[in-house]
Amino acid sequence: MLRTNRSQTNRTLVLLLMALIALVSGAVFLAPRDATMGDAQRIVYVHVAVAWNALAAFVVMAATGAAYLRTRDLKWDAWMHAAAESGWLCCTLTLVSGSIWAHEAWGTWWTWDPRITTVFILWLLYSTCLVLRGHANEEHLRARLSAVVAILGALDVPLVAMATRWFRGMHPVAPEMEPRMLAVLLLSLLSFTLFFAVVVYCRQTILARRITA
Amino acid sequence: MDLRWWWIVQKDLATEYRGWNTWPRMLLLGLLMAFLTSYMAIASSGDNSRTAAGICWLTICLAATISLSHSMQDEQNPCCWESLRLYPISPSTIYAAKLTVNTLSLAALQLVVIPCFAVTTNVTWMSHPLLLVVVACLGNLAINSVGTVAAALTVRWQSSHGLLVLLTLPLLIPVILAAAESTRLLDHAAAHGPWRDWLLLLTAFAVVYLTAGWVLFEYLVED
Amino acid sequence: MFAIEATNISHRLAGEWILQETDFRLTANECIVITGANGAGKTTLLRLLSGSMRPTSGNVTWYGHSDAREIQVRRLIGYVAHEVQLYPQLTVAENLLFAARMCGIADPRRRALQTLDVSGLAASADEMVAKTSRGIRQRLAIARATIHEPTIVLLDEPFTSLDQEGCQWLTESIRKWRRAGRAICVVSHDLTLTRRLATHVVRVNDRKVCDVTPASVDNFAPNHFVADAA
Repeated sequence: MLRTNRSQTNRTLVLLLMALIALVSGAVFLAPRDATMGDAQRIVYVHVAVAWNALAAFVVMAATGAAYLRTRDLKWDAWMHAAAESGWLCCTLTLVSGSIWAHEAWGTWWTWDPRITTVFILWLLYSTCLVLRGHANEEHLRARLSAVVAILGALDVPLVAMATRWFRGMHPVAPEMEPRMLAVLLLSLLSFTLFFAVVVYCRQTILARRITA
Repeated sequence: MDLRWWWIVQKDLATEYRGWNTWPRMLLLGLLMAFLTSYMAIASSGDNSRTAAGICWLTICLAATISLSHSMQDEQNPCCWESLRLYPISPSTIYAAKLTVNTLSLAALQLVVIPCFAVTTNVTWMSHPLLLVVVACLGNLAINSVGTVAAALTVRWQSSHGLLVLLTLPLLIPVILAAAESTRLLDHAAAHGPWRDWLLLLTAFAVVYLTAGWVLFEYLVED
Repeated sequence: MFAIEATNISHRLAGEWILQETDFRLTANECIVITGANGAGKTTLLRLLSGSMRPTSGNVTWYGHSDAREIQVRRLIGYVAHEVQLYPQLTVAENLLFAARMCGIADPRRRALQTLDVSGLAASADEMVAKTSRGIRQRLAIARATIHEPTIVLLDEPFTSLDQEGCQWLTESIRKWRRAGRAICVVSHDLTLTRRLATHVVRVNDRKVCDVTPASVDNFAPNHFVADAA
């Protein structure tokens, strides 16, 4: 058991290191400097990656929530809890990094653009889900409540994804990128996704162990 | 169709008629907000239709949480929720009944509050009564279909009303935005464009939330 | 076939195990009385047996059906909870009529009137439940839960607040139900009634259900329930 834990942690650390090295070296050395925004544009490499992970985490929450409602197996609740925590973190980072970028690009920290608004709604849903979890003291009740909120909240995900296409706003849709910039962006997406996948996996292992204890 | 949903509706309406616990509170909140908005609209110059529509739908949403919370609390406080769950009826019957009661309560409020907002803020919504009814009905259905699920979720806790507001508002932001914009743009309803887009979004949310509520309510009926 | 069969059930509430890997069986014509200290888990056990709650682990079946959500299982069970579960803004008759309608009884009005007579509530039929005495409410709670003539009757502290006449009525009713082939389970602290009614007595102790013979109820110390709690 101890050996398994240690090897899991080591694997996590290696992946974390890989992700960070790839991202930092990519953003600083490989990606060229943006002609109009300068170095502030490099925020995009983090912003897009965490935003993608925030959406993915909500989809994971809804899927594991549905799995829990079908099977009543608390292991799915552990997945849901882990995804909610990392999703909330990603969503917060999305709002913060987006706000910094907006200040540089648009001269304002916040605007009620459709995509920003829908991401903010997503953040509120994550927060509500975590607050509700804290209120329920019975584990199956807690799991059921989170599952229902996750499934209802997942309806916001298509809105976030399509906000720039369905509604007119300021947020860029899919801007043309220089190939090296695109490569770094894809690398960043891959590294962050791997990193958060491992974080969610490790966290659910810890939570699942608490259930069986 | 199982008539039992109607007996639950009848019981809830009789309880409300005898106690007057919900409707006066909803109405007071609605009128208070209408007059406050009117004061702010008059104080500020320029186009106030967006402010009026936004606050009108926010008021409707907040007033709905009062009836939603009561419809479940009236079952929970005398511990009747458990007995209602144990009757040989399907959860969808309970959902349909609670949804009907909440929709009726909110429709009664809308009948008073929307004209009040229109009159006090000098907006032109009332010149399109049929379209306004369509928007009001869709908004009502969307709010209550998800609100009924949320009320069933939070009813077990002492601070259930606070939690209900916390849960419903994020879920209802798209509905409030779509309903407010559909109401504000009623003057441009004939033309193709934003009004139809917002109405389409509102309809989509009403249908999706109703379906999701119908499916998910079954899982909330258990203890 | 057992009316209720609970196999290896465990239940955890707020991180604490209330029941752990315990079994329970109830057959037709039987009246099991569940005793135990305050907080021992008697009400939790009864709620698990009523299908109102799902056990954390283990299985409960009702005449072979394992899903308490099935409508036919709900028809089998009549559950009188510790709380009266009545609508205070409705009258006594309206509460019964509502229950009869919810149970899908063919002529609900007639059944409600019959039940009012049988349970001695005819005089209070038009009174608002909020204005009735606790004893009347307890009678009404029992009448409401058994209006559909369930084959399994589960009663949690049913003698609470009943006067002597009420206790007599309930004792007679339980005997009548048993003779009619129903399976009955009562949670009670009353040793005299336990001795009179029970075909089996079980005690919830240390998160388990243990068998006690009805005769040995006499040997319970007066402070038995207090001692258990300690």
